Amino acid sequence: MKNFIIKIILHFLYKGIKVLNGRDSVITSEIKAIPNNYKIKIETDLKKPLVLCIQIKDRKVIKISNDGNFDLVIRLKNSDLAFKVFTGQLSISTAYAEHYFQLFGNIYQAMGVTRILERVEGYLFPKFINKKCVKKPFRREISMLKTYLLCIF
Amino acid sequence: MKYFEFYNPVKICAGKNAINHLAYELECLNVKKPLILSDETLKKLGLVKKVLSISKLENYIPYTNIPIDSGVEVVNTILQLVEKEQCDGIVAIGGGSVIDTAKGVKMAYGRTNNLKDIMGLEVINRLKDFPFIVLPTTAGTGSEVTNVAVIKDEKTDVKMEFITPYLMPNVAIIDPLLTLSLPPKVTASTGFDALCHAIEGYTCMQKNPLSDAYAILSIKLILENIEIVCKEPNNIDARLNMAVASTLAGLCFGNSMVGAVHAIGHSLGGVCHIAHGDAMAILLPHVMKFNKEKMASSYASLAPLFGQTFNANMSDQVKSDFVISKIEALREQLNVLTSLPISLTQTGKYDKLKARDVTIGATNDGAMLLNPVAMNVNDVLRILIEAE
Repeated sequence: MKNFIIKIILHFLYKGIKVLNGRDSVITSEIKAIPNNYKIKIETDLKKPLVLCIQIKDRKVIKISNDGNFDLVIRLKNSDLAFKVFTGQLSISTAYAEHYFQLFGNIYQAMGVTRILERVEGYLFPKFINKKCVKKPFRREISMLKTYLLCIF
Repeated sequence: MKYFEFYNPVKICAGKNAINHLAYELECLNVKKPLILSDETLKKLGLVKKVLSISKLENYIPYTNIPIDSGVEVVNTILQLVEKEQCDGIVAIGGGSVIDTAKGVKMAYGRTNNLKDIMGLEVINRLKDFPFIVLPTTAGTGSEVTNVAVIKDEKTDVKMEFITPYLMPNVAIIDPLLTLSLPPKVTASTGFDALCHAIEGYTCMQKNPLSDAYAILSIKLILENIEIVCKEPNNIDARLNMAVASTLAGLCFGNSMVGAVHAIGHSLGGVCHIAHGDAMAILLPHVMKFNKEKMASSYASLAPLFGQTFNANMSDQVKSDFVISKIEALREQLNVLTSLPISLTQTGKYDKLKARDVTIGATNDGAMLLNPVAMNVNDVLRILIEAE
């Protein structure tokens, strides 16, 4: 069940990054700062993980297959932790502070990606959950409902 | 903090003439032919020769070509030397750059020819150990006991950060005699770096009860000794206390990490070439003021170390203000004693036109993620303006 929920959230996370790129000024500028063709993989466990693989190509976000080398891999140490992070029970900063993930790649470049993930979560989750997963509350530039509608259609 | 990890396997040999123990420690680690790493300045000062003669080492390979801002090419050159000369251990004599270079060699040895393959956070596993002894010649970095190394990629000018327990030394030899040649200004600057490690380690998101214990003792020792050591550079006891305080702060932040002072300081170093310790001294009070509202109780709990007598009616905000004012007063005192810069302008290296680059570098630094209060580019810019 947990894996099923994580799978759905990972899907919305990808869709969220995609639709908010161009609609949220902060996410747009963060993506602009990422090198072209930069490949990112998020893994939810050490063994048999669920994965989300995306690439930043010409400032657009595309989903790619889990093949070849990635510039950045964020690997949660187990699926329970992944569940907490992706359901907004735990912020990415706290996950980092509490040694819940490994990070393969350049840490300097990874910081922009962590900010994008946190901000997208800020759009996908209601405010009472955001208190836990978003370090600094912010005003949404489009509504949560519109974000979901854009993600679905 | 619901979960924390604390790790430190480094044997610490501390005291006057601790360098006498180097030969014994090498024997314990079964090192027959160590590679001696240092820099040209320390070689000229005769420190390398002194360590080698006290240790009566005969079979060793020296390498002292390590620049202030060491990088991948240097690490690769040293790896080739290790292979060619069949060295079976490293002895690093120096400050942050020498120690980080040695950590790079230890990480890459037997694992990869390209450090880029293993950059990141907790990404490498234990492999065949390569014995590694550190003799710090400054009292500030704490690098002798931390799991962090920053090594520059000279080709792209990108600083690569490595965080893993498997780059740590086996032994740290803390000898105050190695810090006697430090000029007062560098003593003050590196001392402030150690103070900053302890205060940020005590207040950042990764803080934990064990790191707190090291932070508190470190702050106490620094406050008791930093002015003495600047006034009396040859005071061995004060030098030892500062060296131990630096190691304690390293034990703290190696397990709790640091925050925005370091994130901005790293960026000021990269963009404007401001010395790391100077940046710490300049930024610390400003970042504490920024974090104060959320961290008031933590800062307040440090007040007795700064001489605050107990007063139950005093609020945490008042105690925090007291701590920050004491840090500002200490900076000013050190400024008078040693010319330690206390504003960005005083460094003579700060370029306002590069402020935007500094803010971007700071927000992309791993330490920024652990600052207790989120800080964006505009917040960093405001701090830079305040620190001008």
